[in-house]
Amino acid sequence: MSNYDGKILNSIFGPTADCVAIDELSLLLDGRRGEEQKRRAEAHVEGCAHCRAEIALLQEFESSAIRPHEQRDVNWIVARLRKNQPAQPLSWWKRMWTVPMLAPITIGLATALIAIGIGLEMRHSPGQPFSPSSGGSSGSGEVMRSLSVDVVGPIGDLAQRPAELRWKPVAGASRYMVRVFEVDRTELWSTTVKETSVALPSVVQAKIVPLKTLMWEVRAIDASGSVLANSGPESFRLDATSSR
Amino acid sequence: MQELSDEDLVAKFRTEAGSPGVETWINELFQRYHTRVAAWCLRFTGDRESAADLAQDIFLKAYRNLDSFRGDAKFSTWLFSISRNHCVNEMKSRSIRPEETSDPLVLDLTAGKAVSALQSLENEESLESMRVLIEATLDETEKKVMSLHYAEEITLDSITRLLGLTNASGAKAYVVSAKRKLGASLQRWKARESRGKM
Repeated sequence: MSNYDGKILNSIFGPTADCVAIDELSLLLDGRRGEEQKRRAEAHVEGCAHCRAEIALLQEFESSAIRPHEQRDVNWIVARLRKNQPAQPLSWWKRMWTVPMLAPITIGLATALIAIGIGLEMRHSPGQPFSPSSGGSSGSGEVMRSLSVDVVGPIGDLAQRPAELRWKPVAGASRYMVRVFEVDRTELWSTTVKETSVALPSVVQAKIVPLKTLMWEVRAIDASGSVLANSGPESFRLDATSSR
Repeated sequence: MQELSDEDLVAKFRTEAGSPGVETWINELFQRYHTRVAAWCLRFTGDRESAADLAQDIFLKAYRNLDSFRGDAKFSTWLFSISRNHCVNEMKSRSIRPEETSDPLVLDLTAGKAVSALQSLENEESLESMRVLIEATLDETEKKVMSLHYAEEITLDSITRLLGLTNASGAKAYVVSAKRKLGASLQRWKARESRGKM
């Protein structure tokens, strides 16, 4: 059959100027546009194969009858639809944002959760100094505080090889845990002391060469083993002109 | 919630927009139609994977365009329009064109060669005459199949499933028989026209 015939057949079986959209036709036939309109619509449909085909499809759609051989596939599709509904119910925490009175509480709760999360992340970060596996942790009972240990030195570029690490005392600290590591976080040495300074051992001294950056940090620990303060990572290096 | 009509659920969803739990109205409404849309799409495509994708798209489209639903119409009819249009358009975009039956529509037997008698149907008057002829010549299923296939461009396999045709070759058999009947009727019609002109 030629395209021309297809075009003609499309014109013959397609909608005419008197046809209306199916939702409007449905209203007309239901009588919701008045009896006269209903009568006209019925007369039109009686002589219009296109509109009757539309109505037949609508009736098929509206019928909830599933043929036996379709049942399994329809159930499968429905299960997928239920899983991916376009209007997903809000979870309880999202709902809290929508209740004006609860919003401040939600903000507070969210802030607390973030703080706890950050704390946990810092405790368990693989690159974090003084992890239990590094041998420098006091074990249970650690609490992160906002206090910091002020370091004295060495810091920055140095003209001479440092002999020790030094920091300022922290109130309540019974000991200090010190760790020296490479820029890639590879630990070179760690120790625990009661003083506010510690001599660098030969294993660290051997690593101190011009233009090579080393890092160190110190934590103040109280009598119960809790971390009172942390210096954070500091760095130093010998400058190019330094004497060995 | 069961006692609420489809249209009531839409109204509640609209009036309670922004309130917590408002989505339960629309989810209830859509769940009422899961089976129908699933069956519709399955009949259209013939395979459940594609049907599930189409059904998902339909509900998403319905959700996004809920504002266009007029309260005076039935929700089922509105959703039907979306479903039908979406499936037809998707099948077209996938280049699944209606199959052509091998039989030419009309044979000009007296000339001994295949010539489309439809070439005489170029004006609206002739088309209207043809529609009258169709009403008198074809049975109801043939009319539906021809209309869905040639006007809506729905594939014959889909029509077979949508109308639940159970004969061996489904919608194709109705197209073949409809063409034969139309061919014969056209010959008679043309013969009458020729006699009238003489």
